[in-house]
Amino acid sequence: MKQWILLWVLVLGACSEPAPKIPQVDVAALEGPVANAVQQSIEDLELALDEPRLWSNYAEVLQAHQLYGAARKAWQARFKLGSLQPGELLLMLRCEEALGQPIEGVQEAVSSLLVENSDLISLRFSRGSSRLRAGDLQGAKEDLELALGQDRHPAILLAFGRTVLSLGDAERARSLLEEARAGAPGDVDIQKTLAPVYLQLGESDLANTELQRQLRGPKALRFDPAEIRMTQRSVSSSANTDRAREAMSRREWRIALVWLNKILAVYPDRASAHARRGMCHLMTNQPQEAERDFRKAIGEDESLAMAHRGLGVLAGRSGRTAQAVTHLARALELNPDDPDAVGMYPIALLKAGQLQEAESAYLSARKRFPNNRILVQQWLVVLRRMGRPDQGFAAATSAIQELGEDAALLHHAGLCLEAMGRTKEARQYHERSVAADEKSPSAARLEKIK
Amino acid sequence: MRSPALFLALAILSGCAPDDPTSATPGGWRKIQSFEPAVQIPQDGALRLEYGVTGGAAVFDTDGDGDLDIVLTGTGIGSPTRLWEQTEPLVFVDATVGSGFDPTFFGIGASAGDVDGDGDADVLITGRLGSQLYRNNRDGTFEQWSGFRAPKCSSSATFVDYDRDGDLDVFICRYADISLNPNKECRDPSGRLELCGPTAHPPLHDLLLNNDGTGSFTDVSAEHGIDRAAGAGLGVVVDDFTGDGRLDLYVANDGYENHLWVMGEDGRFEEQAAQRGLALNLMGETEAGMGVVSLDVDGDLAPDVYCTHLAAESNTLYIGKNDAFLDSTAPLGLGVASMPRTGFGVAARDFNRDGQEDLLVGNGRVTRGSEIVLEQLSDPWNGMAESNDLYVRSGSGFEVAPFDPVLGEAGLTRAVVAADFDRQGDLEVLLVNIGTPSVLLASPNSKGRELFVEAVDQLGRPVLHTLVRCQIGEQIQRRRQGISDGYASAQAPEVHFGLGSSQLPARVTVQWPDGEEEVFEVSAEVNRFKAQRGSGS
Repeated sequence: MKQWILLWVLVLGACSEPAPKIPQVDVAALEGPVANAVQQSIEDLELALDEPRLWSNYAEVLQAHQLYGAARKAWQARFKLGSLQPGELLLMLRCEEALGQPIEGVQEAVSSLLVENSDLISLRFSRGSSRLRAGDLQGAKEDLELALGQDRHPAILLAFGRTVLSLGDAERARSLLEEARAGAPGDVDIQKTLAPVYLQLGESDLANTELQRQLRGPKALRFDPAEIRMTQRSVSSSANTDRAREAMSRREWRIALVWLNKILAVYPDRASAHARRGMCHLMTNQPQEAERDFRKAIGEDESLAMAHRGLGVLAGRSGRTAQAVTHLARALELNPDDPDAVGMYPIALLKAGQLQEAESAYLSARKRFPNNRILVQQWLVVLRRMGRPDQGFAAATSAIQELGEDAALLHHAGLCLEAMGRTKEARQYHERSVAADEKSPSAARLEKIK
Repeated sequence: MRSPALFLALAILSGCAPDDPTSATPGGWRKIQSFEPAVQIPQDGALRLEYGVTGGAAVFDTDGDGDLDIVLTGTGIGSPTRLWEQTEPLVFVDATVGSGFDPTFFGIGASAGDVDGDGDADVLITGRLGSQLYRNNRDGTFEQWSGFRAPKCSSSATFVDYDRDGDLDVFICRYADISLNPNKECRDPSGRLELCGPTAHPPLHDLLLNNDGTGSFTDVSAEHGIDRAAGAGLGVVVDDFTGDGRLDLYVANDGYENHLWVMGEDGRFEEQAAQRGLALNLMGETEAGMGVVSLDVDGDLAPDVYCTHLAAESNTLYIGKNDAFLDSTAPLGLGVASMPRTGFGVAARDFNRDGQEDLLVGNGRVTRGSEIVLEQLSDPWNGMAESNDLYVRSGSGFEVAPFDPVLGEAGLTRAVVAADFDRQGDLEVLLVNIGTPSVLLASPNSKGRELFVEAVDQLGRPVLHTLVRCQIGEQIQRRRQGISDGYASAQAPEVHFGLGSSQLPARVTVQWPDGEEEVFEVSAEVNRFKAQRGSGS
């Protein structure tokens, strides 16, 4: 009997899968919050190694911090437990892409799930994008065409446009990309994919026009809930810095503040985060908090151009003109390519009474950024307010010669002429402004100076 | 990435000791000589951006004896710039002492060209805080050019007579302004210290310096709008990308949109990368551009472009069509294969002499890999070594060549220079590694015929960026006699054609930079030919 029992034990031992081994990472090398998140996930997992949800959790934490090698192993273990959700497969595809290495069985599982359930648009779109990246153009076309049949989302139109472009059908790519642009006019990717398509089709004027188009409105972003969940797992200051930077580039100042506060909670002396947070405070009209952050940033690292620029702005607003000039000059010294500082500097000089230097800085800024209309407008406003409409009119006409019939510039030229008492000529400029753009504020001025 | 275990197994299988891969595979790549590392990675744990991008080389005849010598950029005291002179065929001797190179200079890349028109090549060395230009004294020594000014962190450079006034001007890729915060610490997304990337410091615009013919240079970047396009430039290649007969410049930027400086009728450059499809990849993403070459993949006798990139990005192949370029990486078999590795140096040559250019990519990460590859390096460098890749033509696209233990020996490779070093008509390749020795390799023996052409002026001096076409029967191949193809390096001014099994004479057409063409007949026995201006028909 004992022999039979022993035999059964041996057979069972040979047949049952060994418990999956938790892939380890050297947590000692990781940033504190990341190490804690990883360690916590491991501890949870050790309590229930057969729990799929905990394996996904661990894999997502690793992937969120770009520890892809370990994430791949965790996904492999999760895969073997079965009952995969579409979101998990989508993240596995992302992991494969990041590593350039397959996770065994994932492609087959995705195919199978898509056959069972044809409504999984996000997963189909992700696989289509992966296939496009991997060079499987027919596979990408198949997926993206199906996804597009269910949702003409700009992101899908863009990916499908790129696919048909790769397949050599530039005309169809143009039509798809134009449709994508209509849905997401603020997306730079669409703009920069469409411009060379026009060129390929011999439409060089359209290519130029497309590249000069102002990007306003939504972008072709598309996020699956699983991707959002995973990115929210990221707790490292580096990842949060990226998020803050992205939010700031979208001018979402309050969102950026959330991420920056997280970073500073862990690293209270991080100069760059203080500079960024100062900028967010400045843009959300919290000047005292902004000043505090900028000063802290410079105290830690004097070479932060952004902090000097911020202090220059704050000083200018509160009438400390000499300080404004000093900080903006330093900001420009540190980053001569900062268009904001380049634009603000001549105005600060003007307000500080350094007229020749201001004029010279303005001309230099115009030369550097010849198409920057905002720069000219700001300059004209300040000149007029400082009682120099003659100088403002001269600057306006010069800019109009270079930039053409710009409604805002014509309007400012009209205002300068009004201030000089040359009403008749002012009317002509206001009329030209309205002709350039019927929504120009010159329309109201024309009513007033009849 | 191949593990040491895999390498060991392959070496043993091929019947060779693992520490002597000189002839690991019969008929495969063969190691000719190793060169003491010019770049020693500091052991102090500091991870400075400039160590990730250094590792350049200039290959040219430094002493006028007819063969090619090697200048390897060093990182200053303890590992200075080194000069290796070829004293007999494929034997190089360290001639650094007394060569005249500044032993304290932290170099990154190099370029070579006859700046003062005296018949020998002078050398430009780019570096972490600026570039230095050296006059060639024709005796194996160099003298630093006084008054030459090209400040801030720079990488690749090229000499080009953009204004066609008969002298060589210089274009320098500049990277990031590390001078503002030289000891900046950067971390990866999990919080570990890592090499700073290009966005950690303000990006710099590139420099165009005009030569007045005497070697006195004026910065004309602003005249061409180059000062308004900051990016982190790492690679530059010269070719006529718009088919108008004028030379343009394409710059691979690290993490920023690439730039295409198109020379206009008015003699001014204009940036047109975005409108011509060369700024981003097919997915609309900026990539970490490192090395760059122009080559003709589709056989339309117009340039296509190949850029190397970071791991998780593919290296990217842009095919030119109708004045615009399309990222055709994946359909031509180059997408997935390159994604696991980080490419820097690249050479487009016909390594198997089948009549089509192949691509040899030198790899080496700038972020931690998932395993330790080179025990002799400290963390995180020990996880950054990777094997190199050779992509050979297959049908209309490419395929990865079988792993070769000599070519594929793991390292942190940066510059890759392919040339006929001893002028004997065979192709050799220099792989510049950081932290470990650089190596000169002989490409595998092949039954295919090959031909090297040097396009030279009436005085026998190389004419840079000349267009050379080689026709045998119906097949025409196109090459540009460039020098900056690849990464941070000066290639020898020559072009290489693989001619397969043909035994017919080759018809070589040279189009000089001024547009004039000459034709030369080259018999089948010749494998190295000097096309001298005025001697063709």
